[in-house]
Amino acid sequence: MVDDNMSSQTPIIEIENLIVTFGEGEDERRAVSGVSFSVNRSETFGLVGESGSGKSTILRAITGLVANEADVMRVAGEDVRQKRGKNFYRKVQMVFQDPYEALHPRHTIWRQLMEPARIQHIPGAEARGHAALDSVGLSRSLLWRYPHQLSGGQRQRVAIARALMSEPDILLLDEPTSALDVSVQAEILNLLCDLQDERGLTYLMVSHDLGVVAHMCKRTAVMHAGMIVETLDVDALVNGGATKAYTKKLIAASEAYGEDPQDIVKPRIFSK
Amino acid sequence: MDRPPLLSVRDLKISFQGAAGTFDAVRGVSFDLGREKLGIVGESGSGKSMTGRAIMRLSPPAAIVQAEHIQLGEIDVLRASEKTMDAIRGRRIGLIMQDPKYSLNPVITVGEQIAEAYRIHTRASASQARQKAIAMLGAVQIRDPERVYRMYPHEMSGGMGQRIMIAMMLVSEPEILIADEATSALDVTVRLEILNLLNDLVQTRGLGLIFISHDLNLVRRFCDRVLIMYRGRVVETLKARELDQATHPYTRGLLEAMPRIHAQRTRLPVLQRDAAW
Amino acid sequence: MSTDSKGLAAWLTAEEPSSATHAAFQNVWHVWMRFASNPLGIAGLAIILLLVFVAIFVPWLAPYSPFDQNLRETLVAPNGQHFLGTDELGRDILSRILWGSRITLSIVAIVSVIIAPIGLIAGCLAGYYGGWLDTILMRITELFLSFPSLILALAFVAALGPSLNNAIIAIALTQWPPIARLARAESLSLRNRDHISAVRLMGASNLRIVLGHIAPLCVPSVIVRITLNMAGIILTAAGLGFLGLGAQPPSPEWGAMVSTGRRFMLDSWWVGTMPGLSVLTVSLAFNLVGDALRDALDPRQE
Repeated sequence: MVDDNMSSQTPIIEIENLIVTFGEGEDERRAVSGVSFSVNRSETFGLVGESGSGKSTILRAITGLVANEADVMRVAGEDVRQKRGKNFYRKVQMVFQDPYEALHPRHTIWRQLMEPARIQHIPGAEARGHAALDSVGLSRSLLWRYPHQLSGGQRQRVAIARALMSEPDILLLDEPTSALDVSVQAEILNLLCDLQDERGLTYLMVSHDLGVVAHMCKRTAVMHAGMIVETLDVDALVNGGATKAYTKKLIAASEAYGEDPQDIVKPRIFSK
Repeated sequence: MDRPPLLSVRDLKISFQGAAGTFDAVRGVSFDLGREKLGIVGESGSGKSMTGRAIMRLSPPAAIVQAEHIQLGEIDVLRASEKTMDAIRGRRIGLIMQDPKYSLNPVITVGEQIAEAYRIHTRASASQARQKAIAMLGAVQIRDPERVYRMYPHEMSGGMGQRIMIAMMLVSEPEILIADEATSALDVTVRLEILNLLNDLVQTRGLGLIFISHDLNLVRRFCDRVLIMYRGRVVETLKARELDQATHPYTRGLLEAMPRIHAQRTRLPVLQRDAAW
Repeated sequence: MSTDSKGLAAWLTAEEPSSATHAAFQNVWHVWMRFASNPLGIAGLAIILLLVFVAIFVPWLAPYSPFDQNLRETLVAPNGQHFLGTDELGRDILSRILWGSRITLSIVAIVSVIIAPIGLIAGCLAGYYGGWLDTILMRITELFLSFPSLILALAFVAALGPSLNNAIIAIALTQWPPIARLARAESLSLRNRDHISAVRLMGASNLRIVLGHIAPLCVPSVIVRITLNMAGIILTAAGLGFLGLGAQPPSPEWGAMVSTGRRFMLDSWWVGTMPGLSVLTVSLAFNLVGDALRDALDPRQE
């Protein structure tokens, strides 16, 4: 849980003026135009926005999956604007949106868990693998199954277990529950909260769902068209403390159909 | 409502034969649809999409569809001939699916597609169809319908694409519209606009709308009545406004499990599934 | 006995595999079950197995030696003593066809064994790395693909000298580019998948990703493509033999037999037609197996 002393420590993620450009020449467009924010240790920070806002691109920029430029990009004390050292991949891991794509279709679950161990030469890999499986609430009997034999929720748990294998400090969560049913989403969100409590993980969570962000995050940045519209505490967001029009529009649209303040002009007619 | 329902479904059963035995996707679903917005809500595997498709007899060839009746006015859809169904699909019942990218022909302008939909079901001339298509584009609140008529599907945003789909489906003036996760692929702000549009159209034309979705929050505010489906059965039917008073444990579980902006909790209650449902 | 087979059946269909090998075997079993539900595929497989059986046991199966000439019994129509007749030198056609199965099988096997790994690795590397590696590979494969494969094989054999071995090499050289292009196309789309990004985020080297993660996913398409190409390989070999550039006489290679049989088409049709039918049957069999394999190996099994 977050502590009031947090602000005195250096943030574990610091980004300043991040720019990501796609395409060349005439087709060039900025998916992310000058984004700045910071995340404190053991905090859950949200990046919320609609599709095309650039939120997922930010995660990919941090991990180096897309080319980018920034004035500052420090993750866990390391400057990651150009190259990332081996240590980076031990400290930072990512959980992807689509559980159906996140696992290799031809590898058994055990092999998927052991892969990071082999690459990073993790000691005591077997024991860690079993422990990871336990922490995500999956039974050992699933070890020799293939992903297509598991449900969406189980796959996402495996993806989380795999991310935990390197015992990271930071988990980048790219809409981890948007492809899951509501009931499964609840389980996965609870799991993520539990893991954070146990391990002091820092989460940078991307979502289009304000409800999820309100539940999981302490602070959040609202994104639109590649830029941050505003960064605020979730408490403020929930209690009408949003200052920008776009944020208010997003909240209104998320919370209630038919209660959008801009619809006062056209009264809604409800049939009997 | 003492008017006869637009659609009456009784004891719909859909199953599949597989290597592992018979799989029952839908296990005895019954409901009536009047001139109202009926929501069918369920998670994956609940059978809600199957139900929607069965109403138009668009089930996959491997599906075994049985029912006491699927009554559309005087026609039993289940027992009608293919020729009769051709006159019903797109004419009396329209279907809007999730992603307009996959529902629209990418090499024909959207205006022509709407016009074509009109000409399939009426004996209109090309210019009459064009006029009608432009009128429909206006009816779905597209500004500058003449210009949009000439656009191709890949040039449109998701929201615009869904408006085109709605226009296409409404051009033949159906009695019933089925929207299968029609707003799920849209951004939240665009979703609101499309739902407002659907609401207007349903009111002014007196349509029956079946709104299939996994999003209970959305359906509770948009629809008049809601059917909750779980594993092929309807576990509860109630008025949308009365959803908070739902009694079935699955419905209650779904309501509790959703993270909401203004109802913050430390832990989301998890659904305990019961095989008896 | 019955408890043993029940044990095996139970082991193969168990809900939860107990080890990596168990899971792998179960996987193969599932693929086999899907394949077996396709009657045409089974028919094709039966023919191929028959071919293999014949190739192995031909010394005991063939009634005559393929080289024994009997100049008093030339061009004899099919009868009780020579089921498929004799050719212009009095050799038994049935025996020659049976012995020729070894040649056909070895051509098919050796070509496949050569082109599969080369095409797969080259294609995967090009598709994953992109850049100049990809450009070079694309230009090379385009060079090969711009010629009809028979003409190209002809050119190679003409350069290397006519013999069965050179024919095999020539055919392999013409057949690897399509495999490479196929593997490249697959890796291009695979490299953007989330599970590949996940492995990159573990710090895996590019080579590890290509060999351990991408290539295995391309294997099913490559296998299917090769089985579908087998027909072409057999026909190319037959074509080369027909032109006298493959196996040299008196070797009972089917293509060469069809070639010599041309002269006798009108009066002794069996000399050319029988080996021709063999080529047809085996090509068709590989085609059917390839089709059925494609369905059975489809990873979208859900």
